[in-house]
Amino acid sequence: MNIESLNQTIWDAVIVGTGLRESILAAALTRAGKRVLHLDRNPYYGSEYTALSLDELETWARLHQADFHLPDLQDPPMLAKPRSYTLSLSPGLLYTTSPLLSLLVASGIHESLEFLRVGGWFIYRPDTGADETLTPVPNSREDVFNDQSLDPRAKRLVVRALKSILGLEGGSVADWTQKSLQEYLEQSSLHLPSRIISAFASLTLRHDRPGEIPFEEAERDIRNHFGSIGRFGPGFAAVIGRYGSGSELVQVFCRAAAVTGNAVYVLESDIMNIENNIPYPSWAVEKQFKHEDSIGIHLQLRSGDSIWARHLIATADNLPGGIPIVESLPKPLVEDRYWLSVCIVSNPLQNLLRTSEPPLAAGAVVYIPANALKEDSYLNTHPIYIFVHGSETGECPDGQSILYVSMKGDNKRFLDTAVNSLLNKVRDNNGSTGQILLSMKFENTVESRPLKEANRDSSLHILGKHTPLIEIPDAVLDQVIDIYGDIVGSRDTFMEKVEVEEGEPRDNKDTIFE
Amino acid sequence: MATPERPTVIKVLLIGPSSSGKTSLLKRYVDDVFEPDDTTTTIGVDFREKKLTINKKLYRLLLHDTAGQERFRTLTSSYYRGAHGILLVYDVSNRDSFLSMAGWFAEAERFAPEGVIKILVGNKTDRTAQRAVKASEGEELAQKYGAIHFTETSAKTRDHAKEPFQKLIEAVISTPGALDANRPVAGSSAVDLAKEDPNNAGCAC
Repeated sequence: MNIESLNQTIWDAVIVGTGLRESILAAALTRAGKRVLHLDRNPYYGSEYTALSLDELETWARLHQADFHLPDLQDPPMLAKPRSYTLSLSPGLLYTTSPLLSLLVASGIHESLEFLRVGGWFIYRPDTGADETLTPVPNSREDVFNDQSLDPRAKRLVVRALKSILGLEGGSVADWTQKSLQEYLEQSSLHLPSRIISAFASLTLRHDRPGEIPFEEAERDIRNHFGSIGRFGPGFAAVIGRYGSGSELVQVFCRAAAVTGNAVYVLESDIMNIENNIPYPSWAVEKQFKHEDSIGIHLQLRSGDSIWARHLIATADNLPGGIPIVESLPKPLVEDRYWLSVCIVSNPLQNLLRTSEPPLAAGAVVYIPANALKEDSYLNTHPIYIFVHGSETGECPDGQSILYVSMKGDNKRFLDTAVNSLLNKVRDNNGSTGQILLSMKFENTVESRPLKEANRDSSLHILGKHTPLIEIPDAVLDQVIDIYGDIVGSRDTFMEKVEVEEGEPRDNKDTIFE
Repeated sequence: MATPERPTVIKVLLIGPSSSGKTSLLKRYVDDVFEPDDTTTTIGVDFREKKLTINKKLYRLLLHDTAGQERFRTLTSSYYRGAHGILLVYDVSNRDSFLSMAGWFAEAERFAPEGVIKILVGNKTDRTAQRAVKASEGEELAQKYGAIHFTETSAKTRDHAKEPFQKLIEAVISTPGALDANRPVAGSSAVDLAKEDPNNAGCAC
């Protein structure tokens, strides 16, 4: 791209925020030849998908009123240099059947990324003396039959439930559309115990209690889980990107956009004002930009730059408040509150990362059911997920691991309780449980906003606030393709591979010099 | 039958301010020189590739350019991952270009792997009349920030244009640990997304 000032062009799209949806869209639009100005108010890429070093995390925590806690017990200090850590706000996994993975491969973008295996799913239960407290979730019928804790009758019932959910049983599950996962698994012909119900619920990656998860949705999730096992090798259903998963994806998409020559990236850039349906200035008309429209969006940046665009794409929280265009946006339909934490622990948790075949997996999912933990005589009202990232992810030094904990609104003290309970159960090679070296807890909301329902044909594309949890959901891509279709006029060309650039002719000495 | 030798990958980055001639240097090098064992190809536009044979050993050199993200200093940290060598390029006819180099060294220090090999390049020596930076200043800066070599080049006249690349590759190959230390690139644990498991029977239920 020629060096030109930002305000001497009419951008096909200005995208504000470098979260995953925005970054995929930037890559797709620029590959389709659209000119994109991609802004982020932060000095780093990723928005809610970012990953931070230790010192950056501390700054982030201060700016976001998060609870940053460095326990005062480290003698000798056990934390490594701040830059040895990549602490992700989007550690989420991708199922091997995820359309996002297919898109990465089809577009050639996967070559800049490394994906690692997520090994097992585990259920943690309080120590009752009767059952193991930490049990792996079966991956197959063989696993169920090898499970020592189940009697033969229970094994048959579990396999029957599984086959039925996966649609392998002749019978119909039609009558369960209005029922919950728990109701389904507790029906008189199955009557499965709560431990088994937890195992099924854990595969949905949902933060609701099994009695709150609609059976239909659980059925879809569980099918997706089992359908993903084996696609890229035996024994695993999901992968995570090395160095923070979602945050690395974001950066690679942004670079893919930049290498087309059609995108300009500006960080630490904030929009102050937005006006829509404004006639383009005379210089634009003089330059004879190829567009039929004569009105567009006018943006004022904090830097003073005045920007013209045909389309604006952003989440509402990346736009300035108090201006009519933003205030008139539809309000979110549902807002769920979540507590999240990022913990560095001095335990490599290798027992959780072992799989049927070496090497160790890079991640594991631990599910703690509701009512399993006690804090000040209260029990946790919702299940808690601990997503374990081992040092193979490059997110921490060897001998440590990063735990990403999430649960629906509750007492945030359960986050540390959950981690400590897990550490107590998984000793390292020296028999040590390890400890929390650092934790950061923060609250977040997940809203479901109709994607431009109120202004269907306009050039403003407002994304619902998205909080990355354990999984990078497929819906991310659906939203992006919708907007791409609106802007480009066709969805068929989405993220097509770029033509290979020809090298400069050897004898053309003068044009080599810029 | 012996399997063909797998080339060792060397990842080299070019960084530095806009208009310092990074891309011109890269193209001059890739399309012109250094006893290429094989013809040069470009994969996508993400990086340029060159195959080399040095002391009868095969190397696959991957040269990454900034893709315009240097303009507002918005290179991604993932750009620096797994880099073995970095060429830091400024324009000898532009004083500001030279003055920005301390910032580029700092960025390399912050994001690149420990022990990455750095070379400082003052480009555009053909602009003799407009020269704004003395060679001795470049020399001094290179020493101050631990660049192993400094050279002035012209991509236009080919003046020393291969030298920074050759020196960098030599250093990466000859420095113990420079090729493997601290770089878990494509370890055996990485999942190959381009290769679906042919034995995939889906769920074993």
